[in-house]
Amino acid sequence: MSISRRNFLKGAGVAGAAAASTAVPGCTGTRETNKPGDGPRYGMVIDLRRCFGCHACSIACKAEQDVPLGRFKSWVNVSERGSYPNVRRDFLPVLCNHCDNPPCVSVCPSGATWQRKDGVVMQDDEICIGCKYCIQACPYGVRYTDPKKKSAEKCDFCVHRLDQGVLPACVNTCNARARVFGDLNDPDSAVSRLLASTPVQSLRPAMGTDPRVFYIGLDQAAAKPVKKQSSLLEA
Amino acid sequence: MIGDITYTVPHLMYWDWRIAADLFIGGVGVGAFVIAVLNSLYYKDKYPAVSKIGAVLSPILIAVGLLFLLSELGHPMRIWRTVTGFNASSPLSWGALFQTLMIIVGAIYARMWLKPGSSKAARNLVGIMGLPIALIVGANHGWLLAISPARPLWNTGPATITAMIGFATTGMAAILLLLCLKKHKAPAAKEPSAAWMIQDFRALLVGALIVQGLTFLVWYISLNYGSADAQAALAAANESYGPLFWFVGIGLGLIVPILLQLSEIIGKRDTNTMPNVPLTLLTVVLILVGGYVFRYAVVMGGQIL
Ligand code: SF4
Ligand code: SF4
Repeated sequence: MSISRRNFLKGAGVAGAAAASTAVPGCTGTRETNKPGDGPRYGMVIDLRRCFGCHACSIACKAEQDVPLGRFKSWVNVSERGSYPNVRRDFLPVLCNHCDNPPCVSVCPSGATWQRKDGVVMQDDEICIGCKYCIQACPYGVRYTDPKKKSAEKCDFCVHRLDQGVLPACVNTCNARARVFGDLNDPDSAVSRLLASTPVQSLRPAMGTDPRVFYIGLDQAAAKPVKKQSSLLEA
Repeated sequence: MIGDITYTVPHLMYWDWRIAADLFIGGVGVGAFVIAVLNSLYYKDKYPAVSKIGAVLSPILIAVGLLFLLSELGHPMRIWRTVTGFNASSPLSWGALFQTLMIIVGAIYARMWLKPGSSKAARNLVGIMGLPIALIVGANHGWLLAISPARPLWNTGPATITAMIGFATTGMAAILLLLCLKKHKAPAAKEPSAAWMIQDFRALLVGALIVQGLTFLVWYISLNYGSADAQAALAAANESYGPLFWFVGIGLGLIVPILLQLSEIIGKRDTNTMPNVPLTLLTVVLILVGGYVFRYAVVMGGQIL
């Protein structure tokens, strides 16, 4: 199957809509994602050898998702380590990992955070009670509360685009082509072929969350959790 | 350049003192209920004031705790969603359910104590039925924090046990506080005075405080010698909340009360002398202040990493 960045999800719009329709927000029953042959299971590979830290993905996400000031759904950590002359600088794009075993879904008391069959972990503003328990449960610090909506927010792989067969905004905008997105259940998809041919890592595997965002060339030392400052209380 | 620097977006702390207030005040309410029921069953109503105070305090405090939790929610008016969207894997779903149940059972129990002529057997039955609910609410407060591997400071078994014993000691302290404020009769009076109850309850309180200290020690050791994540989380929490935690939470809230009451127990072997009420008052105030600070430091410190 030939993959173009414009129509990579040809036909996936229909599949995505079908997958979405089988999952009901506010209903926290079994959380089974599609197995190979059942339908798509979306995931992403970020090739850190290609990322040069331009932050275009962060900006594209902000614009596409209307993310409020001071909050981010997708961003790039820049870490500098070592002592001169043995120094290195790493770029680490971060977003929701759409985990296969998402603790945010397990702890949500209202069913506002739920998972579609295609693996996309969703969050429903209309149902969310704003308890912020999901924020505490996520080991990756990728959730925040919207100061106006007062609900917990996160990346949803741009499902409004996915369901139309269009790539997520961050993938579409990455000028280094460091982000490869697609159906992990389709052995011919670009993402599956990359996973089959290249060793990948994920963030904090010890957390048991089974992330579906993979990295090529990840240095776990650069992926340590970020320390929060006690002065930075949510307003 | 020396060392590691990470440039990132702002990472906020999302739970504030109100979560600690819910855990603390609700916990005192749970403790007060347990002490009220056990006192009534064990001492066979020798000290009715203890049970009465505990029974009345319990539903009020648990409800106040719940109010603090509601005030922390972005959408408190949607709390009913926890019923319609009940999630069996969420401690918060269970907490909301059992805390509500506890308020109802606690209110019935308090009513039975306040209403003259109500059946003692029926009252004891309600108390016994309420005990497992109280224990579930107590455990839930620890489990709520302990469930998340993302927060290594909270993610340990002893965290839940320490929290539960903390409820018993602070619940007992709240009852003793009100007892201390009552008028004290002479030892010879027919009805045992509040001061004499204090005498009986003091040993129990000291014992519970020592057990609480030991479970805390196990918690601390499990973090200090635990995984790299646990050690990092402990160091980060210590950096920001260490002085408050160690000085007020552990020092003034745990060690000083144990020493004060031990000195009273050792110094006054003659049980016919009146217990030192001001000293007990100081002890219970310290336990309550320390109990809140302990929870505050744990809730806040646990979010840093
Ligand atoms: S990365 Fe965090 S928010 Fe995203 S699915 Fe996993 S636990 Fe949930
Ligand atoms: S903040 Fe909203 S989405 Fe997160 S756990 Fe609470 S109810 Fe669920």
